[in-house]
Amino acid sequence: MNTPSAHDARTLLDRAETTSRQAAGFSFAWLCYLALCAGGAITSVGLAYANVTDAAVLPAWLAGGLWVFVGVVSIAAATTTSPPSRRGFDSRWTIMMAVWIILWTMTSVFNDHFTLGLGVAMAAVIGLVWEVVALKKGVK
Amino acid sequence: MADHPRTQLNPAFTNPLRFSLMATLAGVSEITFKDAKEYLQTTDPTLSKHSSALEELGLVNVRKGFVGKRPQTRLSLTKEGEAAWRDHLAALRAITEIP
Repeated sequence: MNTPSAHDARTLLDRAETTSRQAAGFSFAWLCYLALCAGGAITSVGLAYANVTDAAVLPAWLAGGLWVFVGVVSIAAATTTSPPSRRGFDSRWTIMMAVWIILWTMTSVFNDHFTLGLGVAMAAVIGLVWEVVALKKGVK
Repeated sequence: MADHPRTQLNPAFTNPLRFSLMATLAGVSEITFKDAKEYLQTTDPTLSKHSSALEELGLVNVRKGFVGKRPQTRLSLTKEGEAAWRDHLAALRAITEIP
């Protein structure tokens, strides 16, 4: 094997960095996560509002459930059509889905806290930002 | 006297396409054969030959499956591949630091 010069080695490192960074794109699965979180936030706020005003809870479940349904049924199509995702996507997705499941469960059980809606909205932002940061950061 | 960092370079990555394929796989969770072929601007037989060679070395995982009725091959790095790639880049970095 020919020994690369320092300049050649730097060129190879730059090429490796660029190739790795540009290989991945934003996964559309995060748009489904956004829909899931929208459903969670709508349900949470709707249930809390119903508790405060003695209104019916069904509209809150229907409105939130519709967004959750959209999120769930779109995941397969989103992952199929997405560009390759940044390394570590599986871990980020699993963690954020676990957060969503916990918040959704809390919303269903303790349905009188407006703050849960804020929590679900925050989860959506954190998930999206985490993915964007992973994409920008690239691979060392 | 310490070994020259060139001795740490992995001979499996000296081929330009294998180098680029490893760099690509290092940046993604996994990638379809088709996407990799387009990204690396190569042909089916060439990519197949080099991915198979890296698979035989235990550095790349080649997973064949189906999406609906359509066959799909997905490529990803193995743990050994990740470590080998990291070591190769570290050796290149060390070479850049030689006065």
